[in-house]
Amino acid sequence: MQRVPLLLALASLIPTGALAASSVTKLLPQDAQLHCSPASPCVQPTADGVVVPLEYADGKKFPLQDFVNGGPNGDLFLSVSDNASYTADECNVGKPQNPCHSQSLFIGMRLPRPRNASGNFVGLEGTVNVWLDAKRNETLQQVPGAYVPRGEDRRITLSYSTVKGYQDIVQSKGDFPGGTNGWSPLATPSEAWPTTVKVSSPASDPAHVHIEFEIHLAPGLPAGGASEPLDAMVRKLGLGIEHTPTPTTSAQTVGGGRFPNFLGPSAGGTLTGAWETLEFASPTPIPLSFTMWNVGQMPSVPPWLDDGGSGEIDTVAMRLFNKEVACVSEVWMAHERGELIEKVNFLRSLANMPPMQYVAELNDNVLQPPMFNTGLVLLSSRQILDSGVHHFPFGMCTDEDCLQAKGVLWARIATPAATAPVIVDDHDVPTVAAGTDYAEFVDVFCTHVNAGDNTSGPDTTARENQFSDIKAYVQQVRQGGPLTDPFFPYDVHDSFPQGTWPSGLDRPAFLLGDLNTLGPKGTETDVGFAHYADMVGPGLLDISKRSEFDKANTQFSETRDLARAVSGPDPMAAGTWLSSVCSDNVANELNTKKRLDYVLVFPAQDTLDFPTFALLNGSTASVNPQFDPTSGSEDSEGHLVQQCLSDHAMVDVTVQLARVKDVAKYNPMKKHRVEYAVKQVTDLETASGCCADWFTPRVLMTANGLTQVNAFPNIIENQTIYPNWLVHTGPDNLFPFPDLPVGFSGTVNMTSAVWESDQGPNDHYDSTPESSALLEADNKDAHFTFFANSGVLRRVKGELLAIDWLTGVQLLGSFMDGYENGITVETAGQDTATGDNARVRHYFNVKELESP
Amino acid sequence: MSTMNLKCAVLALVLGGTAQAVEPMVPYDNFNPMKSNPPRATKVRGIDPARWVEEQTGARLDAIRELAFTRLRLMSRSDTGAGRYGLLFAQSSAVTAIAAKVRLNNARSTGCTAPAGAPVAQSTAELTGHFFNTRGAVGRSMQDDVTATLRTVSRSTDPVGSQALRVEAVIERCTNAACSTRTQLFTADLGLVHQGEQAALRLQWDVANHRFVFQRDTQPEVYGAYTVTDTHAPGNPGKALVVTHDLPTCTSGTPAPLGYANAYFHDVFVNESAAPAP
Repeated sequence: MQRVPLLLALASLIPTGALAASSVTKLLPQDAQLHCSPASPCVQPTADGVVVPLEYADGKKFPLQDFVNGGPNGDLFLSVSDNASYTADECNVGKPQNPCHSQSLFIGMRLPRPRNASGNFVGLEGTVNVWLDAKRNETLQQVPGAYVPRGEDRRITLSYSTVKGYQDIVQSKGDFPGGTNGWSPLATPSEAWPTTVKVSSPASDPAHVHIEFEIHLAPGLPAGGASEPLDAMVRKLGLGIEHTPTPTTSAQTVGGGRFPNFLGPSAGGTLTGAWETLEFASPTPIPLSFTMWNVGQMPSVPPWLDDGGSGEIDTVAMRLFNKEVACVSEVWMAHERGELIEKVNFLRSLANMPPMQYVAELNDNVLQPPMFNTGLVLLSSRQILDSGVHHFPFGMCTDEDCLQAKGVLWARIATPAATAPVIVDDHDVPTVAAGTDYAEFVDVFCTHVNAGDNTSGPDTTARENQFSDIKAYVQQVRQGGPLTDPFFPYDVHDSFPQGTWPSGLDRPAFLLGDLNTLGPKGTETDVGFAHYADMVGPGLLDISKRSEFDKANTQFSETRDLARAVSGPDPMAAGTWLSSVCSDNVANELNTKKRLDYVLVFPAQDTLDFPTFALLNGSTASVNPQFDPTSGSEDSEGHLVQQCLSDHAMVDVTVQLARVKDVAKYNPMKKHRVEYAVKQVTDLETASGCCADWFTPRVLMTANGLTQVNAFPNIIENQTIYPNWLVHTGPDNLFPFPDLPVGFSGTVNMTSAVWESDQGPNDHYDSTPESSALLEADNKDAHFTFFANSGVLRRVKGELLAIDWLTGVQLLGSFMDGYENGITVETAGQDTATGDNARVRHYFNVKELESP
Repeated sequence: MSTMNLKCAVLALVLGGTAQAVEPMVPYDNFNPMKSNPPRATKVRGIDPARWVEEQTGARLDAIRELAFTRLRLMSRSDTGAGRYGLLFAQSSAVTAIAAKVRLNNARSTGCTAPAGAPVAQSTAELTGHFFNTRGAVGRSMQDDVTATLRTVSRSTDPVGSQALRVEAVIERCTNAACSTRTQLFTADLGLVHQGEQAALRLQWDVANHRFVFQRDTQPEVYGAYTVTDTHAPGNPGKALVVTHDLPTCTSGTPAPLGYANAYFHDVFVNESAAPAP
């Protein structure tokens, strides 16, 4: 789902009809002049009938869903090459097609093969139509006549059968209303857009038929040649693709699908505005920024070590409250971590900013004394969808570090794309969906490892062990759990969601931390930084290797160490380790300082397929010492000198993600598993203090006339918890509670109750803004209904009457728009009588079964 | 001596110290509304006005008095004179003993370079109170009130670069109505504490033995005995948790005097008869 383009389209106030019909995919053409060289050759698809995903690595991947017949989904790959021609040594080196082709649109399709009654794959036959809308901007601007096929537009029709062994291709030109269904035969062969197509059933992929097209763009047609997509001022192309399998009586009918991918009747190739707009530009960026700062607040752990700076929580909070995602280390006292979070959010409230969410250990009870913690706080101005706290195994430390319990925090952070407005047609009323897209996230890890020497010895050994532990933890978290590492058993004080969660291995993740390992700066090589090389190397964090996707694409970043060189005139000014007694003149000495604090990238899992997200080139980095505004004094020359707030400088990094694989949408012709969970609970009762004791007697789901109620009576203590109190359809329930069948058109109802164990009677917390209902559950608990006939998820009135489950209060989203990993929404109670209010993050997913 | 008194005396000899002579300590406020100790009937947002009354004297550049997550935070920054900033126990008259965990973080005290011999600057975090008057207070005059204080102190004479603070016990008698001048009846050094290091402090009036009891962490109790009359109520019965500054007046030179104290208090206990209402 392309949320940002949709938003832009809304902003341009395109009339509703055109808006509903046209969505945009930004696809940056591979430019031989810019992207390819003999030293760094490009990869381009070869239209040989074998779709190798990474040949399309400079393009994008889409699902092909058969909304008529159901069955497994197929894949569609698109890639474009620009005008510049290729030399023999800069693209597809060593492959049959060499040099590569400029000015071409490459289409690769992997179509599921049907099975016969015996379950064996059989051949596939059908038709692929490819519609090409030239002069796209005229269509988008609703120039009269441009909304239907015109003479400059083309239709390429492939009829094929892998059973009978034929493939026929016919090209037509737009002729509305004169032609047949808007299309007429070409007058001469020279009117054709030169096209190569190949259909095959590769032995390496017995479940799919592969089809590849190469279509030459900008062929210099006489009519409006200057407007062809790659030569035009507005570099856009309308593209529609539809595969229609031929029904058979001897096997399944599967493999249908279209681009753009949507449920509903086909436009039949006559409404050019309904096709996707390929805009030949860089992918839509999803910006994020990260901050790493060791604040040098050393008090009490152990007490004989000096404070690493002169700052108080107030001044530290001032430096952090407007950050996007920040990893803060060396806040050793639980109450100072709590105070920091309170101060940050107080400052944000003054600036009319929503509160930051956080991951931190706040509970210094008997079993977890103040010193037994990581000293870390992970702050996020964006929603935290899941989180965890992990301590390094006992004894994996040296000297004073063993008086602490260092480790790693994890936050799964919703990116800006997760909350970009999505408009849903709610009974002809355009409505902004209130839900957050659970697929639009990145995993962020925050750590502080063992201090000490950087010469080989016990300290470096401890750090290496910790890096291995981080690597193992990060891997298990990113893959979606469960956390069951037998080699490094998880600590009794660790906290993490129970069960499993969606995998994040399909995108970059980020490690922010004081890694206490000297690293190279700017133009320095790794020579002389052996421990750094080991840290990022295959034995430890294992992030230095180029992935197959890295090798195949030319447009995305391969940088792993984002603050190794800072932006600006002196890339060497990347040192972060200041002295414990320093002043503001240190800002000019950063190129002489050592570097201990990092923002590193864990790349997406190295496979032969596309990741879901990739990092765009052009990240920025800065290293900024922070000074105590209350420490000003004049030096001998009368200059104001301020003391450092910390003996570490702050590291700020900006990145841009891009989605390179589009999401599947709700397909009623498939079986589905419905999941509902309480992902996060935050106490709103008091302005301060710690901690509530949470439990739930009821997480309920009703589907198909059956009801499943789960209770989670074990108390979880904290101000904010991530409990994953879950109920779902499917086989692993105590009583039968089947998944939604194919063609299900009913509703699924869900609710949960949030309780706190108290010294007196337990408190039923209010987690919904509505009140004045007759039933306590309707007053306090949020209720939700999924409407399978429309794919829409709503928050509803309650449960007293059957009609209340159908009475919408808030539209959260439509699974027809994607939400491949689910929808989340926060609700908050407003009970002024008791003050027992909680903010609760609810999670819903309607998960397609039998997905490839 | 009656039989009962004899038994008490024998018991006192067996137990030693003061436990038999003073009331037991009970929780007063742990500054954690979510897990209040002692329990409250209703949760409180912020500092509980039923238990605490604000107190401040002197002038300062900056100050904070707030509930900071699970602690009371008192911060004062001043460049002139003397002053105190904190919270009085709402029912101070009933309070004869105070215990609390105290953490003084980043205290700084800067004195004068001139005139030579100017008094030192000091900043403190204190458990303190007026416990009795030696002659019978006249009106609200504090003259002859006896105060006892257990404090963590930063002084301008501390070694440059040192992160060590000093824990001290002090008994003083006010020598004017405003108690701005005092004479010391007793002082004791309870050792060094690092900036930011938490210390558990207890101050207890043992009236039966005409002394105050001071204790830091698990160190042996320190007894501050006095010989003045202790049967009259003080002119000001206030007992408090405060941060203070006491700065000299400088004639010239830099740096300017500064008193900065940033302290965290929690787990406050008092004598049983001063226990707060639930």
